Amino acid sequence: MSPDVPQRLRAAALASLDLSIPAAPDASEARKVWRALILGQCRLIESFDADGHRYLIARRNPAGARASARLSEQEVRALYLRAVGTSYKVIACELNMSTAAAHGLTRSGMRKIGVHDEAELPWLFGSLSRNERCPPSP
Amino acid sequence: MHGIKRADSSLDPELPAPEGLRQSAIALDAEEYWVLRYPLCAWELPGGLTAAEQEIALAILAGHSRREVARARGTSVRTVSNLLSQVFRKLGVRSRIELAARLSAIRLPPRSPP
Repeated sequence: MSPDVPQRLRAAALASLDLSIPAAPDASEARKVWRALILGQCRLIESFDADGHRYLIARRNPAGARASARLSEQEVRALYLRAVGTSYKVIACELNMSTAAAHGLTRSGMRKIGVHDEAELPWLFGSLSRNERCPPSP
Repeated sequence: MHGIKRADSSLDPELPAPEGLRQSAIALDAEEYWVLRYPLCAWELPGGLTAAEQEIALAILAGHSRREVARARGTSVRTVSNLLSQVFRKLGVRSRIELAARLSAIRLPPRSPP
């Protein structure tokens, strides 16, 4: 990738989602892409902030690519626990690992979905409390 | 863990999409990309905090260190720490992440019966 590609990608991303254009009422396509990111079907190339919004730029992974880009179940658990304010010590206990490993797991999960700061996690998971709760464990 | 789906490895991990998520596709140098956008968090502080405490709380939530906040306000790090402690005490939290969770009104899913 040439050095000026990130800048051009950002410019193209900003132009493609012009804030002056009202958003489409159906966000199903956007959720599909988000899910593809979670499942590692696409890889995060760039993430940046502009105009009070977070922009994520992703590219589809080639067929047969390693599943390392996929958000693991452990990573999702760690992100959720941190989002509700759980300390790394307790996360480690819940996930049966060291505190350092819990910290690393949270960081790797954040990196895969373009979260820059853990304080964003409660906001990101905010929709969980409003309309998409995880069902109680059996 | 209450509320966390104990899925086996064959099930997809659950992670809700951010609210206000929008998507588009762009092409650059013969490569195709997806673009996602969602609004960043806008913190609303509850009442009962002084102006200084609100300022400190918002700066810390934005990711600034206590040293950076102290420098910006022309005060000592100790003053910032004391103000932050007051914020934590008033809001019943013990850390920055708990503060963020409290302000995001996260609620744990109901506990399942034993």
